[in-house]
Amino acid sequence: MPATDSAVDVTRDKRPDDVSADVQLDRRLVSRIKNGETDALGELYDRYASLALGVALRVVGDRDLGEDVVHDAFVAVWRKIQLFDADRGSVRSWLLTIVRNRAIDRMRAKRPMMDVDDADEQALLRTAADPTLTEVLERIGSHELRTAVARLPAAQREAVELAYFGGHTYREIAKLQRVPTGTASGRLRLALGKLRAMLQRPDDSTAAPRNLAGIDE
Amino acid sequence: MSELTCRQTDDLAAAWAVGALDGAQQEAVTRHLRDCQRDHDEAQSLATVAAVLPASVEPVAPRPALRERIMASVAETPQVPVMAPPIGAQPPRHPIREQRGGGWLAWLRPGLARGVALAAIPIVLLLVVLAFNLQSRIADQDQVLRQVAGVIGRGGDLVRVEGAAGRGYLVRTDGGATLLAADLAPLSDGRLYEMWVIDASGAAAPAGTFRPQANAVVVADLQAGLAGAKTFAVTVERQRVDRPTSDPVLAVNLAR
Repeated sequence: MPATDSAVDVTRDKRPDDVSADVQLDRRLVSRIKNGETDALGELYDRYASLALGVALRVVGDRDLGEDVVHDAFVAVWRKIQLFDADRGSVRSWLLTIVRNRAIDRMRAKRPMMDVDDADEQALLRTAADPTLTEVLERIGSHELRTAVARLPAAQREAVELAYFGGHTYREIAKLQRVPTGTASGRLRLALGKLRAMLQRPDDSTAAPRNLAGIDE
Repeated sequence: MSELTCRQTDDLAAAWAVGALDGAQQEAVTRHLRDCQRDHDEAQSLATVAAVLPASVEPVAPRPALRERIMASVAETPQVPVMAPPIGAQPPRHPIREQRGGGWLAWLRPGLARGVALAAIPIVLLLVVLAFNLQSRIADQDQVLRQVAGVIGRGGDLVRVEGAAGRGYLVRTDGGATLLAADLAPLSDGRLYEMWVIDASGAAAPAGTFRPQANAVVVADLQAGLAGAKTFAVTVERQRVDRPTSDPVLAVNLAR
């Protein structure tokens, strides 16, 4: 289902000028939200709600539940915005990571429940870990990201999706893929490494990752 | 889970980045990355890549009512305030919480607020009830905590306080204020919790310190008045200090 007409399409691939303007807009919105402006959170919603619901639905598969997750995530961003440093991380990544964590939490029954507040703050660390790389990745559009993920070897792509959108541990992934735990863990490492290599070359985004062609298991 | 070595942390970094560790492992890696003096560049890089994974999904337009629902919730939800660190203070290596200890309360900490002595019996009864409901839902616990705060406050204002360290209530009475908090992690190395009353200019006045026992509810009198206060906050300090040196682990905006 397409995004609403009123929503800003932040998922298309963009020119560098557009990206820079988007990053600046996000930072201004963060600043205004920190000042307590609820309208600014509304604008952030208009920019990322469709993407957020896409993430939630990918995990929970139910629209009512997915919208509940998106609701909780935007309220969490509002509550915890003072903890967020726009110079270190992307508000898009932080928001979507919160959505993912809360969606997984809703679906997780057999594993020990995560403390979603704790997870939100761990997400701050994970999404602000490498500001230089974050700046590069901020320029990547959703289509380009999907293309990069699709280019991963099938077993690695499946491992990442089982972990990130399925909420499985690497030990569970090893059982599901019928491989040793070391292989499952290695697949995650290889997949992220390949994604990094592909995404760090935005000018060559349509090319196959030739330097990684020989790396698989 | 025991502390991890740098090597173990690096080995688990990719799984940590995509959230594929169990809860204890995930926390152990986070704790190591936060506290380790060595740079774990690869782990941080993998985490940054993992953070863009959700942006790869196909967007789906929400129903219009969701926006209204969120804006209504936001209008009723206070932000967790964070004080600016004092000039020259070393910022935390990573903006994450102190590790939270598990559990709930078992007994009341000594040193109750003045005037609370007469209320001690119902408080203890309520806490005994709490002790038998260790596994109850957080919402239930919070409700009982609120009831205890109500007994202590004897009709005074109750202001909910929350943050990375836990949650509680600030009880405002004519004679002053008392913090009632649960789920605060015991601190090691002689560190303590310090309370702050912050005015509109951002000036923070120290309002007392406390050290919670494991699984105990904290009842701490504020040693500073709330007149003119914009924010009440609690930080973790190595010793009693005159200005906060770390981000708050509990806070509430009193101006709302």
